[in-house]
Amino acid sequence: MNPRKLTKADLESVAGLPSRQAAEQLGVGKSTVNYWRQQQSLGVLDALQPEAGATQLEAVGEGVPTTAAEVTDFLNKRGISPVTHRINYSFGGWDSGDEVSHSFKATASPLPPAPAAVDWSEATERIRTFEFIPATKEFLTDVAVIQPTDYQIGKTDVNGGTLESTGRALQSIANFAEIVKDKRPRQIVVANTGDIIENFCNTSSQLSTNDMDLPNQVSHAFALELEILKQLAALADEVTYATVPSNHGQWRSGPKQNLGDSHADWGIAIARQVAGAISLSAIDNVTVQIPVQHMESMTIQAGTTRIGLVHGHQKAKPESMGDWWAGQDHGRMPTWDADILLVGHFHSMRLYQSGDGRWVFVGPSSDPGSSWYANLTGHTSVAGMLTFFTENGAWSDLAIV
Amino acid sequence: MGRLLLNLDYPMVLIGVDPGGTTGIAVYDVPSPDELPRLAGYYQWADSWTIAAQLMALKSKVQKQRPDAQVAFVVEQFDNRPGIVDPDFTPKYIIRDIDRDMANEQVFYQTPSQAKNLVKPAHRGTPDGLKRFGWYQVGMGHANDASRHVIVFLVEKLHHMPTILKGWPRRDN
Repeated sequence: MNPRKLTKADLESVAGLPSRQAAEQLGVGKSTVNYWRQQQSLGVLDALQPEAGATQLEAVGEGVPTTAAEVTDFLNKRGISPVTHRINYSFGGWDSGDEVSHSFKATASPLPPAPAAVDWSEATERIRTFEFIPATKEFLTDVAVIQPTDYQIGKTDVNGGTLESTGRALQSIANFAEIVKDKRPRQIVVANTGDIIENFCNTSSQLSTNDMDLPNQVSHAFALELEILKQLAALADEVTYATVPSNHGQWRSGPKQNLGDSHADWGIAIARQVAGAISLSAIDNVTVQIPVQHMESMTIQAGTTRIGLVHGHQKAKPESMGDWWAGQDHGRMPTWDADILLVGHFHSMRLYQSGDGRWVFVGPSSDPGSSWYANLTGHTSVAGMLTFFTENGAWSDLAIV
Repeated sequence: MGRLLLNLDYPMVLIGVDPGGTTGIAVYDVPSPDELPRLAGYYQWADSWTIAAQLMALKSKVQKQRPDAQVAFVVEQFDNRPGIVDPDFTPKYIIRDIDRDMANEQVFYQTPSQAKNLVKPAHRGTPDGLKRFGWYQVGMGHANDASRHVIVFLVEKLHHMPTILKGWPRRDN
């Protein structure tokens, strides 16, 4: 049983007196005085006292509520409701042998008024004049380049299908984004060297092995490129997206039956759609570049470095691309004055020098692998995207992400 | 109350909040672990009811200009100090609103005493600790308190070296 409650006033009236004298003066036991003095010293006396404005209710004998429903009724008649008050109540009673008597006690404390509903438009209006002045971005590097190539969306092989290729591509971009956040380049170049979709006009087996029809391949690849640019646009002041025609992208009537010029290519069509979508969005730092009409290659300006792009289906072996480039240089074709040439198509990383100390990079692919090539040669390659940083024609931090 | 230090990475924007009858708010842009943060904005507001909503609106405004940055809030928690007669309980209500309306945000609470070495001069005659950083704003006492909490968070939770070197009190000064 709890000791009788002593209030702060009670304790103050006997302050300084020994417990025994204080107990006599207040008409309680010494242990009661000790208990409440202890509560006071712990600083919890206020919490144990009835709250300010609380209503004490007691009832004995006839009409005493004995059930929860009767308690509600009893309190309602006195203008007390759980909606407006915090209520504590208890039942008591004794049995004298001849009769049973009941008692009831309740404490009702008024609840604080409910907070006003937050007006979001008002809050927005109040910060309208707040001006956020972001820190000036300090660039640690000039240009970061990533070379997505040969997704071949729609293709299935040893490493899965479209879903897996998409996952690999997005994982590569996520890995690249981590590097970029650390190195903080001024410009990002996304150099897609073709074969964005698998298409149906390279081998007759594509009709049965592809997991997507052509319209879906195109729309899926478009969504993937848009997502990549959306993720990278926030990471640099300037983002350049460039792509070139390729053998899987070509508009064909059957295997090796080309129908149009170099721009009759699904990769080029997707790049044009991406440019349109970007122009309608809030992203204002992405530019899209494609080769000039009738050309299959191009050179883009990456800071102070010139980067050439070509798919690579112009030659049968990756080692031959240097010779191809030499011819392009002699004919003053689009890649003639590039410092670095990026090549796709071969699905396997190569890196070698050509001409006057220029570089040929052949990028790894994001496609699901090639069982045809593995059965033929036994070789498989690491999937991913090639990435490096460049400034003044030189490169650094080469990696497959 | 208080959440774990999760998923917080550079670049980030830290919004310091000193809740009270007049609430101080200081916004810091922290681009990297190697650069000094920038005091990107600050203000004081004498109205407790819309503070949580203002913070969310502020986050939205900040993210439009820094879409790559994570936004986190550093809030001074309420301590009922012994010996204070009739304390102002407004911070409790603001913190209640923050807990209710910003349950999905990264909110870090700090005790008022954590920022004390940026308030009290280490020796007689030395200036306010915040002045060493160059982020002291005249007549903006509450916003300055919010700044102090951001600095403490940067130093104690993120070990942000440029901030430490800029003005964090050292034994030899």
